[in-house]
Amino acid sequence: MFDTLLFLLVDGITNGAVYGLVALSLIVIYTVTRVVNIAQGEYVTLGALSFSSALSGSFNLFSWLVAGGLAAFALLDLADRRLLSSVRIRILLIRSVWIAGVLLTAFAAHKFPGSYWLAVLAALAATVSLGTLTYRLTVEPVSGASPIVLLIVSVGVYMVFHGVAVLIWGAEPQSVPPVVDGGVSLGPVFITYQSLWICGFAVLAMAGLYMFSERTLIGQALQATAVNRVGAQLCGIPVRFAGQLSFAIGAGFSAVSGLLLAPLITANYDMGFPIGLKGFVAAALGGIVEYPTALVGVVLVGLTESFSAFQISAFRDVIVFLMVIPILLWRNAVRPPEAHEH
Amino acid sequence: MAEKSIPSSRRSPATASIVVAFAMFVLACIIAAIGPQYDVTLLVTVGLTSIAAMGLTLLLIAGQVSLGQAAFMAIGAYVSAILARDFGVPAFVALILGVAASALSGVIVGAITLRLKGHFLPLASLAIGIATSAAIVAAGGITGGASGLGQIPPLAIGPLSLTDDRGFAVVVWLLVAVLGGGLSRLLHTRAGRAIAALKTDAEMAEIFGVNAARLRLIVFVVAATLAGLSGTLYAYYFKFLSPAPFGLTASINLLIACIFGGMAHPFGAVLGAAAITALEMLLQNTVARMLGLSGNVELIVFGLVLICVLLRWPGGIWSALQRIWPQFSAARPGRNIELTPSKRSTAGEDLLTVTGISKNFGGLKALQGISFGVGPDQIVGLIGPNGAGKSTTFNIATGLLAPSEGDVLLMGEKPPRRVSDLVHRGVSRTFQHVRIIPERTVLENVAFGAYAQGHAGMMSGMFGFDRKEEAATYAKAWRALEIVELDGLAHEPASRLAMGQARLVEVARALVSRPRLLLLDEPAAGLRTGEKLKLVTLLHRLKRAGMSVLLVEHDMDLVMNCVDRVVVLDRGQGLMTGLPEEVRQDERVIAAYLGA
Repeated sequence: MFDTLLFLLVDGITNGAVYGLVALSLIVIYTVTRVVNIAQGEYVTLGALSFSSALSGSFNLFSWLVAGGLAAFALLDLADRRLLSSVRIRILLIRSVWIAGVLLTAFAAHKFPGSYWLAVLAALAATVSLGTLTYRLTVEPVSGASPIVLLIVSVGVYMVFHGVAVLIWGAEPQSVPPVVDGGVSLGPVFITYQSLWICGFAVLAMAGLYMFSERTLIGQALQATAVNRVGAQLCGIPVRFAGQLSFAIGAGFSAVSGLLLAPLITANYDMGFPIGLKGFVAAALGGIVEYPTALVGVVLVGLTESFSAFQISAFRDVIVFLMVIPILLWRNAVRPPEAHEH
Repeated sequence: MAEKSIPSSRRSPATASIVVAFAMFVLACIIAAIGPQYDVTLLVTVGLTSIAAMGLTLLLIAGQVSLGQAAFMAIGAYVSAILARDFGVPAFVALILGVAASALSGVIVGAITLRLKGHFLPLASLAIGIATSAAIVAAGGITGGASGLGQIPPLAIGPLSLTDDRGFAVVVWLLVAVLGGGLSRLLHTRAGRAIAALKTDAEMAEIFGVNAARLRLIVFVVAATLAGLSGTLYAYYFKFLSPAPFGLTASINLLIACIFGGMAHPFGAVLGAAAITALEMLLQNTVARMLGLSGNVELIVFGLVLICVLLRWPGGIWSALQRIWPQFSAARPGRNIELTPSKRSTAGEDLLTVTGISKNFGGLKALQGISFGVGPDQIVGLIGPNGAGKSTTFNIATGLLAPSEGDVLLMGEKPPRRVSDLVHRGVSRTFQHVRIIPERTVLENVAFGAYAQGHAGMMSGMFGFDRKEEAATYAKAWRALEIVELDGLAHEPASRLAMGQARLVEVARALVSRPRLLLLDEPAAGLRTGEKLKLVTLLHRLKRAGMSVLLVEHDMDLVMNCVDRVVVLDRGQGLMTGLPEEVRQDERVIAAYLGA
C-alpha cells in the first residue's frame, strides 16, 4: 500500500511539474497581455515535435517557417512610418541576428544529429520566436479589444498551430529520448531521471522567473505592465516589448516542458491540448495571477489526477475539474480579482 | 446633429428586428422546402447553434463569459432523451422536462458561481463544462457513455409527430426567428438597459434599483434554458446522442459563433453560426475536394480566417454591418412633463440625518464624530481638503459603508439593507468617476434612471408588452435631458461625450429616478466655467421643485453660490457647520484650506 502511495506521489508530482510550467506560461501571458491563451498547449506539442526532428537531424521545416515569419514581422515593423530611420536600422539588425540565430541552430542540429543540447537549442529558438511572432501578428493589432475577443483569436491561433503540426510531422507519434536514461530506486519506488529533470527544471524555472521579475529592471517592467497597462505605458515602459517578452517566456517554458515530458508519454500532434487544459486548472487554482500559489495548485492537480486515476478512473476528470469550483470560491472570498479588466 | 439623429419611427431597430427575423424564417422555409437533404441537416444545425449562441450573447452583453455553455445543452439533451427512451415519458413532455432540467442546473450553477469575480467565472464555467462531459462518459450505465445513446423516439405532441426533417427545420427556425427578434427587441427595453448597466458597473446599476445578483442569475438561467432547448431539439433531430458534440470544443464553438458574428447583438449569434457553417462547407468543397488537401489545411484556413476577421473587426461581422442597422431612438413627447420628486417631504422632517458617525479602517480613523442633516428643500455642501473623509461620509450616508459608530437616518429610517432599495426610498446619486453605459445612447443612459419606476420584465420586453411604460420612460428621459440642456445630444453614443457632458448626463439620469434627496459627488469636476454656472442654476431649480441636494465638491465658489448650509470636514473630523458666509470667514476653515 505504501509503495503504491509513494508511486502515485512521484507520478503526481511529475505531472504537476509539467502542468505547473504550462500554468506559469499562461500566468505570465495573461497578466501582461490579458490573453487567456487557448493555444498554450500547442507550444508543448511544438516543443516536443521540433525537438524530435532536430535531434534526428532531418530537415527542420518548422524552423524555416518560423524564420520566414520573423522576416515578415521585420518587414511589418520596417513599414511602420512612425519610426525614425535610425530605429529602423536597429530593428533590421536585431531581426537579422535573430533570424540567423533560428536558422543557425537549426542548421547546427542538422549537421550534428543526435546532439541533445543542440537540438534543445534549435527547438527552443524556433518556439520562442514563434511566441513573439504570435504576439506581434495576432495580439498587438487588437491589444485594446476585450479579453473575450483576444481569447477567440487565440482559438484561431490554436487551429493554425494544430493544423501545421499535423502537416509537418503527420499523425504518427515521434520517439523522443530522455536527457539521461535510467533512474534511481528510492526504497521500493523507481524514479526515472527524467522525472527528476522535469521537477528540477520546473523549480528552476519558477525560481528564475521570480528572481527575474523581482531583481531585474525588465522583470519589474513586466510586472508593472501586468498590474496596470496604461500606467506602465505612461511610465515609459514599452508595452509592446513586454507583451512580446511574455509570449516568449510562455512559449519557452511550455516548449521545454513538452520536450522533457515527451519521453514519458509519446510526442504527437495531440499531446499539448490536454496538458494546456490541466495547466489552466492549475493556474485557476493559483488564481492565474500569482506565481507561488499556482505552485500549490499544480501539485494538487497532479496528485488528484494520479490518485483518482488509481481509485475510480472513470470519474478522474470529473473530480479534477470540479475541484476547481470550491477553490475558486474560497479564493474569491479571500482575495477577489479586480472586477474590471481592460 | 439633432436633425440627423431622429430617424422616422419606421426605421427603428424593433421594426428592423421583426423584418430580419421574418426574412430569416422565410429563407429557412425555402431552403427546407427545396434544398437537398444534406442542406436541411445543415440548416437544423445552424438553427440549433444559433439558439444556444443567442443565450451566450445575452450573457456576454451582461458582461459574463461562459466557456461551458455546451454543458447545459448536454443536460437538456440527455435528460429528455433518457426520459423519452427509457422511461416512456411522452416526447413533448420529456422535451419540456429536459429544458426545465437545464434551467434548474442553470439556477444551481449560477447560484454557486456567479459571485465569482473577474476571470474566475469563465474559469469555473470551463471546469464545469469539462466535468459535465466527463461525467456523461463516466456514467455510461445511464447515458450510454462514449459509445452513445441511440433510438431516441421522435418528437410528438399527442398524435402529431414531427418525423419529417424538413418540418423539423421549419420549427427550429421559427424558434430562432421568434427568439432572435425578441432578444433583439429586449436590448432597448427596461430589462435590456439594466443588463447593459450590469456590464458597465454593477454598483451603479444597483443605485437605480437593479438587484444585480438576481438579474445576473436570471440572465444566466435564460442562457442555460436556451442552451437546453437547443440540446433537447438536437436529441430529437438526430435521435442519437454522444458526449462529443457537448464537450469543450462545442462550448468554444458557440463562443466563436458569438464573437465571430458579433457579441453586441443577438443576430450576431445567428450570423456567426451561419458564417461558420458556410465557411466550413466552402473549405470542405474547395480545399478538400478541388485541391485535394487534407482536413488539417481546412483547420488552418479556418483559423486564419477567424484571426483575420477579428483583427479587422474586433466587434465581429455584426459591427461591420452596424452602419446600415437603424439606430435606436425614441420619439420626443409633445407635452411637457414635470420631473418632481415622487413624494413631497413633510415639513420639518429631515431627509438625511447623520449623528455622531465614526469610521475606522483597521487602525486608521477615517471619520470621527460627524453630525449633520439635510432638511427639506435644502442644498447642503460637504467640503474639505483631500483626505478629509468626504467620500467616506458620502458612502456611509448611502449605506454603501456601515459606520463603526453612530447612526444614519434616511427619510427617518435606517438605510436599506440592499443598495438597490435606496432608490425606492427616494435617494439618487451621481458618481465621482463617471459611470455611464458607453455603448448606449445618451437618451438610453438617462432612461435607465427610471428603472425603479417600471415593472416590465424580460418577457414583456421581448414581445413588446411594455410600450406604454417605455413611452412614459422616454418622455421622462427627454424631459431630464432638456433640464440639463443636453437634448441635442440625445442620440449620441455616451462614449463620445466630453467629461462635463457625461457628468450632466449622470445628473439627468438621477433626475429621472425622481429622487427627494439627490447626492452629487463632485459634479463640477471637469466642467468648464459656463457649465458650472449652468449647474448652479440647475441646482436652484431642483430645489424649487422640492428636491434636497447633498453636494460633495472641491470648487469653493460653486459651493458658496448655491448651498444653504456647509459642512466642513478636516482630517476625518467635523470642523464646522454653518451658513456659507460664516464658513467663508471662519479662521479654522481658512487655515485648513490654505494649510496655514
